[in-house]
Amino acid sequence: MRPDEISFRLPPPAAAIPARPPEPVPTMVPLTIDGRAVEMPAGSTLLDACKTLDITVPTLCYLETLTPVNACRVCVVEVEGARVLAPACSRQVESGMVVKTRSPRVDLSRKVVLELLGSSVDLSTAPGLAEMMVEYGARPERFQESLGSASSVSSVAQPVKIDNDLYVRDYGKCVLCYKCVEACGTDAQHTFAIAVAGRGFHAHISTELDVPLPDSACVYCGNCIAVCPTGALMATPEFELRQAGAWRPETQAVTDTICPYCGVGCTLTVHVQDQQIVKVTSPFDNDVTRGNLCVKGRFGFEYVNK
Amino acid sequence: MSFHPTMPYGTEGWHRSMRATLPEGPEFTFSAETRATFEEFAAHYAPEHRKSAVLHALYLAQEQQGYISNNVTRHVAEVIGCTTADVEDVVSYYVMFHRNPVGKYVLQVCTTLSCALAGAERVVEALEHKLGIKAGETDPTGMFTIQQMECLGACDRAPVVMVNNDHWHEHLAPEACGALVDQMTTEGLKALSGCHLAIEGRPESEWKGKTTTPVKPKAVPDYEAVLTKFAFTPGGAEFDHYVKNQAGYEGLKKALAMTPDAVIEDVKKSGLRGRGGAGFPTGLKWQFVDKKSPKPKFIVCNADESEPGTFKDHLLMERNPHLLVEGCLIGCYAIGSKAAYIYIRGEFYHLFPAMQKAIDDARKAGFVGKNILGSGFDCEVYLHRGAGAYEAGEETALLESLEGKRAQPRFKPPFPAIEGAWGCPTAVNNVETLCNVPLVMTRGAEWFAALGPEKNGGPKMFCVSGAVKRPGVFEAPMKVTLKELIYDYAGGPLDGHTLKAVIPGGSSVPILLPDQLDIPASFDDVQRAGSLLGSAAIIALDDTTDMVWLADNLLHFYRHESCGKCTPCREGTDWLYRILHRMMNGQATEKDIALLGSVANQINGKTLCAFGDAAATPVLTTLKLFKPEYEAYVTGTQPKPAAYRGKTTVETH
Ligand SMILES: Cc1cc2nc3c(=O)[nH]c(=O)nc-3n(C[C@H](O)[C@H](O)[C@H](O)COP(=O)(O)O)c2cc1C
Ligand code: SF4
Ligand code: SF4
Ligand code: SF4
Ligand code: FES
Ligand code: FES
Repeated sequence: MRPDEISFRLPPPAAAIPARPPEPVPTMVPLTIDGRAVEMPAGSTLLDACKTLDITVPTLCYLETLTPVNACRVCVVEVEGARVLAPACSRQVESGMVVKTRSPRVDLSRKVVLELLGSSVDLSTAPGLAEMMVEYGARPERFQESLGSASSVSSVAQPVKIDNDLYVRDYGKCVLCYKCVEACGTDAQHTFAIAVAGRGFHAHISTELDVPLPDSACVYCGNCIAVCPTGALMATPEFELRQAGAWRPETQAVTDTICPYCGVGCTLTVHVQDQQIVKVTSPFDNDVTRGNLCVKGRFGFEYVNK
Repeated sequence: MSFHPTMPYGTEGWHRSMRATLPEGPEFTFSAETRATFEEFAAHYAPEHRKSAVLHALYLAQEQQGYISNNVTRHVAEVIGCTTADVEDVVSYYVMFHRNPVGKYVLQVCTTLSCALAGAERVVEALEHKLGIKAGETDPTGMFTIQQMECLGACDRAPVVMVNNDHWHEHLAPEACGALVDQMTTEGLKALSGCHLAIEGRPESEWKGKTTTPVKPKAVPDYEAVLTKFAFTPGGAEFDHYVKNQAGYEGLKKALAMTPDAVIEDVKKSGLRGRGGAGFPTGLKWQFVDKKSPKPKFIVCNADESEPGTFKDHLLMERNPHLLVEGCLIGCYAIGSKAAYIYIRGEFYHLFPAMQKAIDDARKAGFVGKNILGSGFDCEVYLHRGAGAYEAGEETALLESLEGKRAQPRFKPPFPAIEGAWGCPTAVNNVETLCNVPLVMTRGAEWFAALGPEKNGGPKMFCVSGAVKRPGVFEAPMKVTLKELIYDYAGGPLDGHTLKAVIPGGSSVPILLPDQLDIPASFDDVQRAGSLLGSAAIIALDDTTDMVWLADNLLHFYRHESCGKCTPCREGTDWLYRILHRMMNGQATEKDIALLGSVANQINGKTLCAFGDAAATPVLTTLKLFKPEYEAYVTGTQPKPAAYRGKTTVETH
């Protein structure tokens, strides 16, 4: 007997096209966060609730357009009565929950997560992380100090991978947030060019069998660059400007426009520095494209610069 | 000195992703025959879940070519219908796949706690010395490769060596290594003593007198073994014997005459609690399965048994396989499922055909398949083989691995009962748990509940290993005390030694001291004493045990087995191991002791799955109970290491 015979049979399709089900009315779930009462539709996460209340919770591996993977653990909050801290990005609201987004336990936990990341990863180009380190008093050096080694965060340093003209990969900066893998896979691109290889401390992002990008399945959509929170994946123009010490985001003009290439008409956010386009992104809150572009929209701006 | 080599951290350009370039290998395609075998196996999963068969495809490829070259990875991707990157992330996760050509015989030496207590570290050194190579290398003649493994689930025969994923040698003393290598060179696999004899399929003449059969359970005056009564009887695992002597499949008949809800009610009444580690009530777990869902439901049996010190599920599957098959069937009936998958850890390769035979025999008698006993109930039992990953024992990681992915856990909630295997409602149950279900049916919930202390009913399997005279698996009700298990059942500490401490439930639980042992070995009593019964893997530690060494050994295990998904565990286990390693090598300072405690505390309760808590425990518990030993390491006044463990080179061969 085969499993498709006995275990995977879905109910038979209805004879007629069924009437449209009534619009679901979301049940509202009451809870308290930092002493403030809030009602959220069932199924929302603690992070959604915090956003409603304008409470900032730091995140690293979470992005509204991707499935939460629960890897980084910086978003933890304290749920009253629970033994362990809960990740705000994926824990769903429950009626009567009492949540604290800041407490000594939470702060300590975030601090140590940042320290552990900082102890093995170069976080220098991760937007917002330096501020976060200061806020939580994280000192990654304390591990190295104990080992009596002067080098700060070099334990996983490796040369930047430059194997194509469009973007570089510097895995010495990678925090293993899985966002690029998700964006390349089931959450957006469905190309599956990159995946996690190895296990435990040796887990790392890799193309198939570690081949250079041009030999892999990559189609250069750059959607992985768009979601990377650390600058481990970086478009070549930005990388080169940074190398030359000429990357000045504060001077850049940022303009939304429509991609000139095809009829889909994705929104492009064009970053211009010194009369040159230096980077193209796309807004995540666009209902249709959710921050994703293709190779033309993302990288095809050279002709403008000429 | 720490036995384990120092990791090359901090050197310029070192990266966690560094590894030698993998060989492309010759052109590779499955032979027609192998391909057919694969397709037959892949049919155990729905066509859209073909990826689930990826581990099986890799095993077949490894059988054909000896190792997984890049070309193999590409071919397997083609056969499965996914990208090479998607197969590579699986291959590189599991330890049982060789990425490079290996010797004719791969000597896979367990060096986790119970084996290490018996000298496994010296075994590795002796083999290295004899063959003139290091662990991980192949000798120049291409005959032998040494591979260091973590707990192989045969801790009572420590130190154990597995050969080529499928053959075993038990009780390998360091002094005997040279002779074994010589003998293998001439006689091949025949030189091995075996370990799980009933089913390694070898003629008795080959192993007679070489191996110790598992110790028979000591007769307890007022208790008659039920799970293992015929475990040591020749033919006791056969279908006919099971039906005749163990009221075989009567439980299923009884269940089929009841409503599924009534079966669940009975299991709840019996108080049966999960034997996999957490002790969660099984009836309740089944009740939580979302019956209203239109999706199919599944029972997934957790036969990943890899908590260091645990070797009970193996015995049950080897000696009483029909009990498990029947348990699976009753479970499926109760939750409205039509298929059970038994996830067997990769190291128990030899259990695969044995379990398959049991399922086939049951099918011949009409207990498996369509319209079982004319009741209209259809049910299938499938086997799935893991490939070497402790984390695959965690229930959600197990489901991921069943789906053919890396064994990395999912966030809970949703619990498997709502969204489990392939997104369908699933109950994950341990082997021993399911084996108890037929007993609840045939003998009644009241009988079951009355066997042990309140809420801790039923028979229980206890694994005792480490520094005792008669290590082994013992069946007893949970009224039995830890002291009785160690002194009466397992013979007590070795002559001339005294008990120093006991790990009562596998390497992940806090240590108990000798004066705390006079308590029933039940879930609740052990918890009250400040530890956990876990998987009932009792590891006895005698006065020769160095507790810093123990923490170093276990953190090597946890660092190696961490799945690497969440930050505190991935980075934290590495730091714990690094600090302990330095301590063992006499390089640590006073500050390191504090750092050790602070990192361990920061992993504890902060990770995605319970692995983090487990990994922090050996450090926290030894720091709490044996801090002076850490201090001795810092000041350089640690005692002389004992017996086998102290020598850095082996003197005799
Ligand atoms: C790191 C880790 C490893 C585990 N390993 C095993 C295992 O090898 N075997 C097992 O039965 N349960 C294991 N478990 C427990 C399972 O997650 C799960 O609780 C169990 O299979 C449920 O079955 P039960 O209710 O019958 O005990 C493990 C849990 C964790 C967190
Ligand atoms: S550029 Fe696109 S296809 Fe290439 S790795 Fe990134 S997400 Fe995948
Ligand atoms: S490369 Fe960037 S997006 Fe990908 S895992 Fe690393 S940090 Fe995350
Ligand atoms: S605690 Fe985190 S890294 Fe460790 S095994 Fe669980 S999910 Fe993986
Ligand atoms: S943002 Fe929640 S775990 Fe990373
Ligand atoms: S088999 Fe070696 S410790 Fe379990």
